[in-house]
Amino acid sequence: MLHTSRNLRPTMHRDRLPVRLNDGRPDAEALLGEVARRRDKAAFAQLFAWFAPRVKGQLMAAGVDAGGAEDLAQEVLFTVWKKAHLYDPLRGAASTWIYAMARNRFLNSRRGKASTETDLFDPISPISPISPTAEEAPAAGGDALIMAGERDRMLRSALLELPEEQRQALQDVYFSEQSMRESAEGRGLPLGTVKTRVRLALERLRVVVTRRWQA
Amino acid sequence: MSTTVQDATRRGTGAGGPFHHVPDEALLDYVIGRQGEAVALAIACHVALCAHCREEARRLDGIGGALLDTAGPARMSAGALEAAMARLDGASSPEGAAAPGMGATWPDGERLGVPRGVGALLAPRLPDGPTRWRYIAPGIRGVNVMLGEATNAGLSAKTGTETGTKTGTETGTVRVVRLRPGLVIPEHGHKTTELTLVLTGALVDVVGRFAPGDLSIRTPGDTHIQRVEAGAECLALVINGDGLIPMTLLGRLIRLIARP
Repeated sequence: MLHTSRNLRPTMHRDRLPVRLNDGRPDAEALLGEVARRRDKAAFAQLFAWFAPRVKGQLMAAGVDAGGAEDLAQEVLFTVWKKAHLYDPLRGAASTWIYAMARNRFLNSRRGKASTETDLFDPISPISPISPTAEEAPAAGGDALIMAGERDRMLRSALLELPEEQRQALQDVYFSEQSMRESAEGRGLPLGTVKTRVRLALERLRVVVTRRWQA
Repeated sequence: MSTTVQDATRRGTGAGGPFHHVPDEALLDYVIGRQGEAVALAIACHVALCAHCREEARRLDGIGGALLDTAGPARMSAGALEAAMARLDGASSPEGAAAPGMGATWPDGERLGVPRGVGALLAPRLPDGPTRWRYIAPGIRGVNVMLGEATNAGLSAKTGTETGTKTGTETGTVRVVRLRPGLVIPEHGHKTTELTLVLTGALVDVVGRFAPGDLSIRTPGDTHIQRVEAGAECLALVINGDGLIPMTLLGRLIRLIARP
C-alpha cells in the first residue's frame, strides 16, 4: 500500500533509484524557487521554454485549437510568474502545480466560471486539501521534501514505461473535459475498455512506485 | 433489510481512522476537477481529515504533472517567449497571500468540535455571522450550505441560492445537520445518491460506524436505519439529490415535517 512510503526514509536507498533527468527536463522546482525569491527572469524563461509548449500541446490534444491553446499556455505561465511564491514543493513537482493550474484554467474557460482563491480545485488556493496541512508543514524538513520529489520522479519514469494505449487513456482523462464515456465514444472504443485501461495504468503506476520505494 | 453496500474501505487506514474512504474513481474525478462542487466539497472534507486519501490524492495529482513533463511539446508561435517576457515587468511583485494559511474559520463549528481544516472549507459557503440552526425534524437541526458563487467571499455569495444548488448537472440539498445523541432515523431509501460526511460524534448504520472524516455513500435503492451514537451530538455534512424516500410510516411523517 502506498501509505507504507510515508514511513520510509528515501535517503537510505536514494542512489539505487533510477534517475531519468537526462531527458532535458530542467530542474523546474529550483527554477520556480528562483522566480519566487529573486524574480529571476532567466529562470522564468527556462520554465517557459519547457512548460509553455507542453501545456499548449496537452490543450490541443484535449481539443482546443492552436490559437486558444497558445493563449491559455501564455496565461498559465504568466500566473506562474505572479504566483511562484505560492508553490509548495511539499505538495509535489513543479510540473504537477503547473498541470493543476492549466487544468483549472482550462475547465474554468469551458464552464464560464471565474477562478477564485478559494476554489476547491484551485492549486494555489490556501485551503486546497491537497496542500500540506498545518500538522504536516512544520515537519516538512528534508525528508518529506525529498520524498515528494522522489515520488514525482518515479511517476515520470513509470509513466514512460506504460503501454501506449494506457498512457493515452490516462492522458484523455487528465487533460480533457470529457468524461470517460465521452472519451471512449470519441475514440470509438467501448467504455469498459477505456475504464480498464485507466484502472490498469493507475494500478501499474502504484505498483511501480511502491515497489521502488521498498526496493 | 439493507441492500447494496457501497463502501471503499480498501485503502489503508491509520489507527485512528477515518475508516470509510472516498472510492478510487470518485477521488480521481475530484483531483482532476471533474466533480461538481457539492460532491467535491464532501470529498475535500474527507481528504482534509484523512492522511491516506490525501497522499493518494497527491499521487493522482502527481500523475498529471508527470504526464505534462513526458508529453510531446507543441510548437509555439514565433515571438511567444518575447511576448511572455514583455508582460513580466507589469507584474514584478508577487500576487496573493504569501504563506498558505488555514483560510476562513467557522467559529460556531469549532465550538461544536468541527475540525479546523473542515471549517475552512465550509466557512466560505455558510452565511456570515453566528450560525442559525434551523429546525428540520425532531432531533434534527441544520444549516444550508451555499454553493455556486459562494466560492467567492464577496456579497454575491451570500445572496446565492440557499438550497437549490446547481453545479453542473447536480441539483439537490447540501446541509450541515446537528443530530441529537441517540436519535434513530427510521428506515428510509434514497432516490438519488446521498453522501454523508461525519464532522463530530458518530453515526451507525448497517454498513458500520461513521466517525469524523468517515464518508457514507448511499446509492439509489439502498435503504437504511441510522442511529446517532449516544453521548454526543453528531454534526454531519449531508448532500442528497431529491431527498429521502421514507420506508415506514414514521419515516413518512418525518418527511412531511421536514419538508422545507
